[in-house]
Amino acid sequence: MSDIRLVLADDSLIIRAGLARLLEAGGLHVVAEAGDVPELFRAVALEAPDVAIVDIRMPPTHTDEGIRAAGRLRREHPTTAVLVLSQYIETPYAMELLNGRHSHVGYLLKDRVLERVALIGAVRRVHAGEVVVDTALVDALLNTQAVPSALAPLSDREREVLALMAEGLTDRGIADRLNLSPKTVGTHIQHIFDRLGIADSPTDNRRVHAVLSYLQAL
Amino acid sequence: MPRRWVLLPIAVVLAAGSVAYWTWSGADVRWTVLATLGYLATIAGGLLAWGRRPDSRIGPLLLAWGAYGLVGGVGARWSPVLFLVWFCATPLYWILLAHTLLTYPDGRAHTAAERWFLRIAYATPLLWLAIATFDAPVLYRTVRPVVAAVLGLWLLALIVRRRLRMTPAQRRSATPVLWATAGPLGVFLYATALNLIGNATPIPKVLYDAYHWATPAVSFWVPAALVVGLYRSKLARADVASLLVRLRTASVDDLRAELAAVLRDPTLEIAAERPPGDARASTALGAGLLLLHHPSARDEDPELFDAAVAAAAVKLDNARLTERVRAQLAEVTASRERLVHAADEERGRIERDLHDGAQQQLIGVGMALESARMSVPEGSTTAQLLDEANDQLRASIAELRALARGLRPALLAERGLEVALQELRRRAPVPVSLTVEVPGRLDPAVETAAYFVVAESLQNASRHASGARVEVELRRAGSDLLISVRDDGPGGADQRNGSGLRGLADRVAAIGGRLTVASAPGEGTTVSARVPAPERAG
Repeated sequence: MSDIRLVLADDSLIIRAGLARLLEAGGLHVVAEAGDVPELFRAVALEAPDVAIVDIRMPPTHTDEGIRAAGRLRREHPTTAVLVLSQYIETPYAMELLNGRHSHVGYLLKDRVLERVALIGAVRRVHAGEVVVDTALVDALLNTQAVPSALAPLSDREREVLALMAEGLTDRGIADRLNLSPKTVGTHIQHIFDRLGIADSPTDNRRVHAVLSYLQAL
Repeated sequence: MPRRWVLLPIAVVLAAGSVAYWTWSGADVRWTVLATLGYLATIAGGLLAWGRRPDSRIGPLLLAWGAYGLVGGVGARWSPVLFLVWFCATPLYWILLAHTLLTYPDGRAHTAAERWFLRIAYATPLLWLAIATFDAPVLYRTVRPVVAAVLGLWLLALIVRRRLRMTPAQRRSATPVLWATAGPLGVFLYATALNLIGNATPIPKVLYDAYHWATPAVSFWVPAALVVGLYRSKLARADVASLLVRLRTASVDDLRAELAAVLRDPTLEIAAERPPGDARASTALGAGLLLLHHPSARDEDPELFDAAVAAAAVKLDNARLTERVRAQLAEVTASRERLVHAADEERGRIERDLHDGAQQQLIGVGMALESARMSVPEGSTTAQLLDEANDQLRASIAELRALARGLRPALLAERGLEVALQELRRRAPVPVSLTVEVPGRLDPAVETAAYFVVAESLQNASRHASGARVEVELRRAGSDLLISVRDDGPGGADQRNGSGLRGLADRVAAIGGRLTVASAPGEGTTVSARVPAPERAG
């Protein structure tokens, strides 16, 4: 059992308490809670947690404080992964979060806190350095009939694989979801990299590049 | 033709009789015809004046004067009584003439002095009666010229005084009458002088002849002067007509100057009330305003005056109505703006309430369910029930989220129009090309309106033009924002029938813009809006 240390930032005490209970029950360790951004930074500076879970709307303006705080956290505390929770999942925020910070970040719908397994999975994945984007965003974008020209070189199957990459699934996860062998998935991913012109570099970065170009294309 | 013109043929018959009588009694035929024609001209002039100015007594006075000239003295040879009557009535010729000239143009005495003059003048026949009764030729020779001279000079003084008190306008139209007065007055003074001097020393006959021929000339002179006066008055009427035309374009501020020019009264003013102690007369102009003018401004030509005042009142009325309509329009525009603003505020409030209230609480409930779920053994009925409850709860939260998102797109306020429109494009169920050439942020109301115009139009396009491509374009034109959403679908949308489009039109109109929908069948649908879009300060 890993011992991931967490800081929670949400201006609602009920949410913080409930979240802490769920995460603790899942074997994670909540070391501090914060009601606003300054408290969050104090807690992170003090505890140096592995992951900070940050609500996007926080005092004083209750708009996008969480996104801004996440960017700052990743810059100032690179060892702390950030998972942003939001009432709405908007592409621009996902892109802002991912831009330049190609690892250890996640952007989830707030109601994922009701899916204990998915939530804890996301925490573990950002802790492991992955990029996690809520399936709701990918679903919303996939439901459109528009096929952006940037993604035109991809086949339908490759686009599907790319969407799942954007959700943050591993090769293994994608293979399970699409009932394919991990080897086939690997081939698809290689094709995607080639066709989107993503140069050969450490795999993590290439995956994130692919996800970014996917989001930006849409 | 008015009934009073019947008097003219009667006068002609009387004139014929008069000429016959005087010819029969041995008078000079040429003089008699000339004098009679003069009286007929006077009667015609009187009828004209009466028709032109029914409210003035000048017409009847001229008629009386002409009638006296025609019938005066007729039959005196046949009856001593008639002789006495005509003898006593002799001064009436001058009195009626004096009355006419003094009181022109309204035919009324204005001052106590004028009234006294007329009373005394009209009483002179009684003096003549007294002279006749006492049969005193000496009295006749001495008293008559003195009375005539006194009355003549008094009349002259009154006319001069009246003229000094006139407004420039009145003086202008009374000028011909001044000339008219000079004629008979000269004759009158000449006759008086002849009488006074003739009592003392013999006078050459030619001087009497001059007087003799001058008297009928007076009968032409006076009506002719009146015709000139009428002609002048007609000019003033044309002024009123042109006043109406000019007032159509003139501002209310010019009204005073225009009225002063037409009524030729530079002291004229437009005011809400007459200042205490002001000697001017006032006439209501409507709209709570008064026209302050010379007390006798109306007497000169009431019709002209009333027409000018009516023209001014129409102008003021129009100005007031225009002002009222403008104010109401401004009020309606402002209230529509407030309504849309209030509605947007309310949407924002509801969205926040949903987010901070209902959704947080639902999530709290959900977490409680999840906690409960953890203490329940896997596979039990309770676990199944809790999972179902959790699924339903998440579906409700998703529905609430969709509702709140439609109420107020947070992205619009936080990242601006272009970013919010890009997100709309990404999520649109139809392919959309988006061009936004609008640097900087705009007024929130403008951004919100533009956002909803695009959102609603995209929704319509996906509903009615599936498979169509949509082009969205936003750019500035001067200080305006132009929004256009064009699809290549089947067209045929009707702005009047779609509550969505109508709501959009209202929203756009509320910020002073205009929304148009072009949707001919087979030619796609283009929703365009043009809204004033000042750049956001700061």
